[in-house]
Amino acid sequence: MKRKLFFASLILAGTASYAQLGFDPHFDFTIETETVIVPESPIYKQVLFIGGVHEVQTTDTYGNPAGSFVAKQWHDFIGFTEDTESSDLGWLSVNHEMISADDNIGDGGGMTTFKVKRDPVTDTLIVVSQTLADGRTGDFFNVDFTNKVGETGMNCGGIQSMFDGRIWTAEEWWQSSNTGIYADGSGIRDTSDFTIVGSGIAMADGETVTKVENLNYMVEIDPREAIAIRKQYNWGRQPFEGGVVMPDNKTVYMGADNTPGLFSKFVADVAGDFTEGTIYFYKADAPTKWVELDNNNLDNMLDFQAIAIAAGATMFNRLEWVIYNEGDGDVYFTETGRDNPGSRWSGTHEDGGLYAAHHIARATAQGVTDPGDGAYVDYYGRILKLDVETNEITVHLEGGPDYDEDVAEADYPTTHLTNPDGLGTITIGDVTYLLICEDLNGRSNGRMPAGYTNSTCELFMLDSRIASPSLDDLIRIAEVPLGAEVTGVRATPDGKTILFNVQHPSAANPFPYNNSCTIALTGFDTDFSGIPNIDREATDLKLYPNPATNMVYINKLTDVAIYNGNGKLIHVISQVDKFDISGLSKGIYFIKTAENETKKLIVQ
Amino acid sequence: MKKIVLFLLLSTTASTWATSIKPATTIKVLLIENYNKLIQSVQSIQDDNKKHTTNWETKQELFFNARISFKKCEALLTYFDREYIKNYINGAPLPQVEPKAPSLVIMEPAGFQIMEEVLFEEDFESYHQLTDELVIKLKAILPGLQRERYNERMIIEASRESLITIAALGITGFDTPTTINTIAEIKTSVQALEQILDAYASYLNADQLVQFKRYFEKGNSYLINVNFESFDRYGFIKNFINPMYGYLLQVQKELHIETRDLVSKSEFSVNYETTNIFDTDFLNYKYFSQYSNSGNVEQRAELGHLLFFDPIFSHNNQRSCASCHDPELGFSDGARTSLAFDKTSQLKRNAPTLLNSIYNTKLFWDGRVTTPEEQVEHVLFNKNEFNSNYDELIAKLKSCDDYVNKFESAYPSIKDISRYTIVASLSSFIQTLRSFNSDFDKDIKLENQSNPKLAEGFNIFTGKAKCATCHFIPTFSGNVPPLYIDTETEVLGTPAVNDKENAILSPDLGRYGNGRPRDQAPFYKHSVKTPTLRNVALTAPYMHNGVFDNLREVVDFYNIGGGHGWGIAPEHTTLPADSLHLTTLEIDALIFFMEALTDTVGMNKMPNELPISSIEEINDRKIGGRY
Repeated sequence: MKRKLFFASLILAGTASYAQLGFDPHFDFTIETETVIVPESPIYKQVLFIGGVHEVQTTDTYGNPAGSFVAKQWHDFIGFTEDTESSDLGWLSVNHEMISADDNIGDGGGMTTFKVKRDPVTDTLIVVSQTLADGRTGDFFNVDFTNKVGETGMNCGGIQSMFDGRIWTAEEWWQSSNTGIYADGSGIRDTSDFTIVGSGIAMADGETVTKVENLNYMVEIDPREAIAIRKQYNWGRQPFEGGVVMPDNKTVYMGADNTPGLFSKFVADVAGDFTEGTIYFYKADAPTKWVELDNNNLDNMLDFQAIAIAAGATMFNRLEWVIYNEGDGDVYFTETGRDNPGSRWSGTHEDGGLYAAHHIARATAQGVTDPGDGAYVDYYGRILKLDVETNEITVHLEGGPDYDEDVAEADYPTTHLTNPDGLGTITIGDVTYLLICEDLNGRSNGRMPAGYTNSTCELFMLDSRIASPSLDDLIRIAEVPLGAEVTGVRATPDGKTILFNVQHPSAANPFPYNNSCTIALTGFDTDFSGIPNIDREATDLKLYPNPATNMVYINKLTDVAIYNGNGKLIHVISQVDKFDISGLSKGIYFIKTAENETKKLIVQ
Repeated sequence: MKKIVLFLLLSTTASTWATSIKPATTIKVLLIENYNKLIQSVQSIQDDNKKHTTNWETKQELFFNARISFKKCEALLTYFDREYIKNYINGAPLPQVEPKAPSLVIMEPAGFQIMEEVLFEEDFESYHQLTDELVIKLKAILPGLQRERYNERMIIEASRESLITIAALGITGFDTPTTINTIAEIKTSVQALEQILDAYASYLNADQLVQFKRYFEKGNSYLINVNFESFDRYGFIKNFINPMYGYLLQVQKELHIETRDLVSKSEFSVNYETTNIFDTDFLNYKYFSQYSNSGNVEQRAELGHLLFFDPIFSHNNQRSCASCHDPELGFSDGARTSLAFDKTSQLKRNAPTLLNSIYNTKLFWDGRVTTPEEQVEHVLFNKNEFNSNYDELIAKLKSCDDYVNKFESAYPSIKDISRYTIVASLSSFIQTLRSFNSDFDKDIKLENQSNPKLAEGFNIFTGKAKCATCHFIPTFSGNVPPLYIDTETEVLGTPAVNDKENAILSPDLGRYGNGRPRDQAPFYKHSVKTPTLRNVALTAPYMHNGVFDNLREVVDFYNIGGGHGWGIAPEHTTLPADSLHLTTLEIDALIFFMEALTDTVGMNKMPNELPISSIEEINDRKIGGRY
């Protein structure tokens, strides 16, 4: 390591390019420069739904009449339900991952639905006004949970059916007491016992549970009418984050955001009827990998995790989203990771839970006894793959890069994937890409560049044809506003639009990006190309713009200075092999590298 | 390995190499070298821990040696992995809630500060365990430090930040709980900084070099033959920290090292372009507001100013924001707890000042919201405050032609009177309430002779009385240096009434009861936001419940250990139990200093008239409200 460093400094000495210690604040126009043109981006960006700004139509709630009220914030999840009966595109369902008292929207978390169509000329999305069966008229609708299934809490991820676009919302944050959900009157205020009615689940209807026991389920809603349908008591009470209904309209895979997080599967007896069927948890060493848990007993369902652990369930480190990849027919899911999981699952390991094999391998590589060791760390998370034929779970892409002493500094990936959370797919032409959202668990250990005090999360695409992808195969689509998490990524089936939420952005962003908002990027069908073919052998500077992703790729790792048309230094980027031009308005720019090579860049 | 490092160091002094090896490269080698020494120094503690015989002197010496090793690399380490250092190496000796976890999970404190505490409590079992953990955590990031791509900008930024850290944390004993080693650690921090910056010596011109040497000579001169109590912190900041902070920015620009603003498009909490840590815009108010970057700032602030004094906000058109935030009382109301909407009952808590409130990232005493924009709504909707809502307010505002016109011109692209434009206007006004030009500020910013009484009071405040370990420089509030992106809350054991003989704890649960799931940790019970002490002369009575009438009562409370001294300290009280041993004269100086923190110049003007409405019955609104 040291020797290499010293050697590197010798080379620098020979090619030292700076008059002083950095780029001159003014561009030297006497240098002749080749021109590189960046065509106008084919991607059009829209903000569809702004939390805390747009109003939602509510139903009669707690004795307060229906009306129009400011939507809750903390957007998460986007469900897309295609409209097969009109030329409109379909309904979008957005979660509100929070718990707050609200006389009109209802206490707890919540969900908003709205309908969109395409502008026939520009292809952009337009929110469609609707009148629902219950008489509500408007653009945005509050999903009525309170009057239907009881309040929900911290609506995080959810489920979209691959068969027909049915939608479930997931109540993630684990609630353990009525005092907790009451939160001194600012959370769920009605904490009286809850009697389950109308769920259609035989073992649950008529049973009475404490209020807190009526939280932490997958909850089906009807996005068309903005009402809740049922809490899936027969899938167990778990800190659910994500799931998917497979195209067979019978099988549901679900992940729980916890350490230990369990992976579970429900198989309906009859396609499309999810009130009756069998629930299983994943157990890697079981013959079929899946072990049934009796769901004809509500007590079993309330105690799902403990029973599954005692029976030797496989333990993951915070499972997040679960998707079906139409490209290969398999299921992909994210394990977002947790810095120090040891103490969180060493006890459940003693109770019978089994560490997932990849964690045991990682622990060995880290030189600790097992994943329950206090020194075991999991900073970056990963994407897992379930082969639906063999039921084997393998690591598809490891987050990171972890600091590895064996990799030369110059060869170190410049793309980081940290704490993947939301997952989606988009099929453009005949290529299916995974869409990956980051949600940083922290800024330490290289998850943010040095000196940055806020987290920025990115949205990536990954060509799903690559069998063993590496971090360099990730294509960055968007960097969300400072401090925000990118959540709920979803593409429209026509491959034109990617929808996603930015959640809890930093207050320092300009309006409306300082609120949670649902954003649409349209135009991926027109001119999207992934990572360009880069001539790594070329000795002179080469730039490869990709206007769809607003990135300019470089054929080497270097420092880059951007000057405006008047030759004034406006931006400096260190040690990169690509740079983002989304902040540059149309016009002429000059690029200079640490080696004093220059290019003229025309952004159209 | 050592040999190469040595050679590199030597080479910087040889003339042929002088301009060829980048300072950042040299500094990286130095950092790794110092970091390895740090690991060794903690391993020495580990070795000693394994011995069966305990030698108290050796134990202390080994611990403080390790602290010195840490201080040698603290500036760069913190810059390169701030969160890791806070979580595992040098964080506060208090439990915290695991961020981003899917449920409430408490992380026990780790690292040097808790080690110092348990060492002096002679809890050796915990000490041994914490030492072992520290070694693991230190070793774990060595590859990361070696992999990091260092450049000159980072080094200068880290160095400027370390000046803030030294001034606002180091000198107060913030991370040295026993204060035994504080002065030695400050010396090390200053020397480490000098060593880092020395790598740039060959790039400096003669004048710059002379200045550089002079500043460090001056800075070091304050640290000779002093102890924790006698250290002249005032002079140290005035004559070393502040000049150096400005000098480094100037040198950075002259050496063509890009500044942070050329690298990142986003706002940072500390305004990089200021040259003095007591500058009015040392902190970047735009970073803290939800709606700051939207243009037309002055017009919006003026509109916000008008709205602030208009009782149109309350359901009965008789109360304005100024009802509880009176500019003449430093934007507070002089009551123990504010009068409620019904004119007879009282609200739960004391009305805090709005001056510099823009820099708070927790608002309300219980810290329930994070921006002033959200804060406004809680008052608007509260049945005991404005008892109103947006529909009602917007209808009334729209009935005033003057408001319609003013909103239209302040928000040309939106035009409408809406939740967003109302809140953004009020926030724009709050953003103008920046108070950093008090007698004290003028004094410490000027290079001429100072008022010795102010210096004395400041030195007690930042030293013996330990006020500045919670009321941080320069906001003198709970906004935590060096980034100021968090606002702290503390558990003090504040009494319900001012009766020491029959002391009872204030039943207010504070942060624990604010409704945020992540704040429902037991150690947040009775925890309240640390308010700013700027303009404190205007804002009596004091504490979250206004229990103390004057500053002397407050200082007396802290002087005997707060709630500990009153015998009512709840579990998890964050004040030390021992007395501060302040003398009457010291208390006088302390109060003299605090009373010199007043600056409301240009911030207390009132509007001349309120807009006329087409709804006749609301036209008798009184500017600022009737009660």
